[in-house]
Amino acid sequence: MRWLGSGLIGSVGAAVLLSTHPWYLDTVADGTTSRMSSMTVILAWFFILATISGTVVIGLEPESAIEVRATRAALGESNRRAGIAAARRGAAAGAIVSAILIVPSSVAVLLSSRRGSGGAWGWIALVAGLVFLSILVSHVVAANAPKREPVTEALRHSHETRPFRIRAIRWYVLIGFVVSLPSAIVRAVSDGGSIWSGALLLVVGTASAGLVGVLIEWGIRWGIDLAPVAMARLARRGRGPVATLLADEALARRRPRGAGILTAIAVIAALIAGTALVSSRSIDGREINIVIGDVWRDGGEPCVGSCIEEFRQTLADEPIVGAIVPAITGRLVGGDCVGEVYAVDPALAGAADPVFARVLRSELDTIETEHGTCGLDFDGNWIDAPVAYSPGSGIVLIADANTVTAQDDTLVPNALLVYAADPNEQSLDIVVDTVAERLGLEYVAPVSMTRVENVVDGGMSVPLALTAFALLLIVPLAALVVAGVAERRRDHGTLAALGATTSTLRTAMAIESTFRAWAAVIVGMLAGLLVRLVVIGYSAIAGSSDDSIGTGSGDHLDSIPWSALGIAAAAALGAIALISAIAAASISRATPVEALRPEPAGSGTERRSR
Amino acid sequence: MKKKAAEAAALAVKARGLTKIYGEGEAAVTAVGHVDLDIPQGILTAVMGPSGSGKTTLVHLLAGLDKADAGEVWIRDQKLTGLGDRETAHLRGRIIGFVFQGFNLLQTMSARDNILLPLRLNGVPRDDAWFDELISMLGIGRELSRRPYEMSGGQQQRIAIARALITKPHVVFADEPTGNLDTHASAEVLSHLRQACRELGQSVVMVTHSPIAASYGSNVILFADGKVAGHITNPTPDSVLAGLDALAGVER
Repeated sequence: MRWLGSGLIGSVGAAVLLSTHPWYLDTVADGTTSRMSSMTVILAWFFILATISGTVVIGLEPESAIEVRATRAALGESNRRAGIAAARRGAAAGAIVSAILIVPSSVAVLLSSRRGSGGAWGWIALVAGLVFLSILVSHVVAANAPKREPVTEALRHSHETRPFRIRAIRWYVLIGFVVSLPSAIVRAVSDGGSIWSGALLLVVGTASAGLVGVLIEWGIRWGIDLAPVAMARLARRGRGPVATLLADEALARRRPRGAGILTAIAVIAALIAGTALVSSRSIDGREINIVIGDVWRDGGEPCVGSCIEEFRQTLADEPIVGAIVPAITGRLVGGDCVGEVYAVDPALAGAADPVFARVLRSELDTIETEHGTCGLDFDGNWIDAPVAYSPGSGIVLIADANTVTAQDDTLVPNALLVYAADPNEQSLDIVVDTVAERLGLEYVAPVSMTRVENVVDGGMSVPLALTAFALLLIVPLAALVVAGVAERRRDHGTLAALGATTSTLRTAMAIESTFRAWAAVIVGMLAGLLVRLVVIGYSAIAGSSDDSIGTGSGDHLDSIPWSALGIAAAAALGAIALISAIAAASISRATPVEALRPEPAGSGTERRSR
Repeated sequence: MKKKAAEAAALAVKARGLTKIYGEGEAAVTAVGHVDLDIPQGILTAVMGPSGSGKTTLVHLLAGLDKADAGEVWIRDQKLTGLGDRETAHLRGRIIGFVFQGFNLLQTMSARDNILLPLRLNGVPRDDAWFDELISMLGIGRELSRRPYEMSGGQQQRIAIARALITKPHVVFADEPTGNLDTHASAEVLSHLRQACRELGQSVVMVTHSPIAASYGSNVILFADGKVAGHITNPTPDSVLAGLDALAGVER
């Protein structure tokens, strides 16, 4: 079972690796930082992989494994020794899975005609390392979960109901603190930040993790406590009262509940990751600041046309400023399309930034199917043009300015995209100050995009992101379904001996799996929403739309693609139902005697006893 | 004919040519080999034999918990072999009761729910008078709201006996019911099984390796090498030991 779990983790890792890296982007060849390589995102991916790995490894363990661990503890094996042994097993499994993971990834890189020179290999190594670490850590954790105690106590703890304890959330708080700390430090020492903003970020990150912990602990408990009510209602309607009784009994156990909590964590991570993946679509890792947009001269006249040209010429000889591209500002309206948009001439954009132009063209190719519901409002006029819309990214790039001006010839450039000559965060701040000073403006408000990275051209598309999201839901939940069947093998034997029919047992298993999946998804969704609300609150307090918490960019709830996530969740639940049905079908194949026969952990050998 | 019918009706369990073989070819082991067996109603019958003699397999086959490779089994006039899923479930839930050596109670259910579980599984309404009588006989009134992990082994086994009797089955099979219990608890459980036979007219078939436990029965079936090796009527510990010694002599 552990190997099955490790294999699943390897598959998820491969999916992450193959679907996220922009293999063929020039920026990779240039050594530019890819969107996946920031410390926060790496931590997030590690958290996701480790959570799923832990869920799968622990969830797939048979009941007998707990007894074996407890017996070894009773015979004097120390926790340290058990941990070391588990680490060895985890290292072996991790090494093999990582090695297997590297092979198809390497083939994919070699077959890619536009692969990068070095970034791709580094990314493979990074993901393989994360998978290795995740498997190793999950094995060590599994070696002591539940806490190793003498046999009787272990069994008692695996079955008794567990009251909610506030202490249970300390781990969530700790995780929140650890994850927030690097971002807080970066924010505190950066030019734009301060110690206070760093401290605020740390407090918000830690507190939000604690809140998520409370939600998970209470949510799962609430869901489990609600189960008898739901079951009773189903039973009254004559939909298998016995099956609902048995499903309720299974849900009341502590061990599945613990696994359910892990699942909820995985779902939350998946939700956050899914949201972030979907919402962080923007242009490739270029340092751009839009320093002028809808500005007004001292006399109260809007700065458009020649005024913008004057500004452009003023900035042209400024060494710290790189390319300058005139743009027309407008607004996105309709559906979940919210934000300011900028129309640029592809030719000018291409001359200034070929990557940007290529990304824009690529985006426009897929625009009709992805964001066909967005409307464009330029200066009070509706413009019919395709939109390269990035939910929540703060900056929205649209089709060429020629399309816009062709429909409304009164529109002239009223904004500038200003590139820094040296693309790093510090120079951007200097550019902002310099531009404000040179143009005689009191304040230049950068339009949020201080460091945008690509997932458009070669990165993860929305359907792919949602597929990954659904996959992240399905893997741990499916593992729990399989584990549930294995875990209750003896109980099914007993129940069959007491007269339960095969269909009753199958129905009970299906009800249990479905209920658990729904509980996990609902709690995960709520927790994800909570996190997003906290981030929005933080952004409002800090006056920034900074994404250093790593939950995806954007500061509006509108930026969360709820409908798409709902479809992904429904697809995942459908898959869980299918897996449940397949798993449940295996229940009846054994006679009660076969089901009750002790089965050595980790062995498929059937032991015959007379 | 009437006499034969009456005899057949007086049998709790009947087996003919019952066979169970594990493995294939040279590795095949005959756990139960062509066994013919008649177990009368209303008494406690003990099945004894050396370890590995096949007595547990025999009881599993008689109770319909395992599939025989050959032969047939009847519980009263109900034939066990060749039944479908629903018929098998009905048989296990209504005709047969089973007491496991390891109790096999569902840990998250209270004792009361464990006892009533077979009724729920089989859609049988609860007979309060019968439930109260069982609780009173087994002395488990105080344990009803407790979970199995909160009880001693003896208490758990008494709950398991109540669960086996709650459906008023034709016959109760017990596989080493005192195997996990101390002497005192064993005596209590065995007394309750005998009491069920004497006072309730229950038929009980019990696998045991203890001569003392076997002496609680009215009849002992000696089993060796997958075959019936003898019978002892009105057994005492000494007579059972003598029977076992005789078996050992045969084996030597």
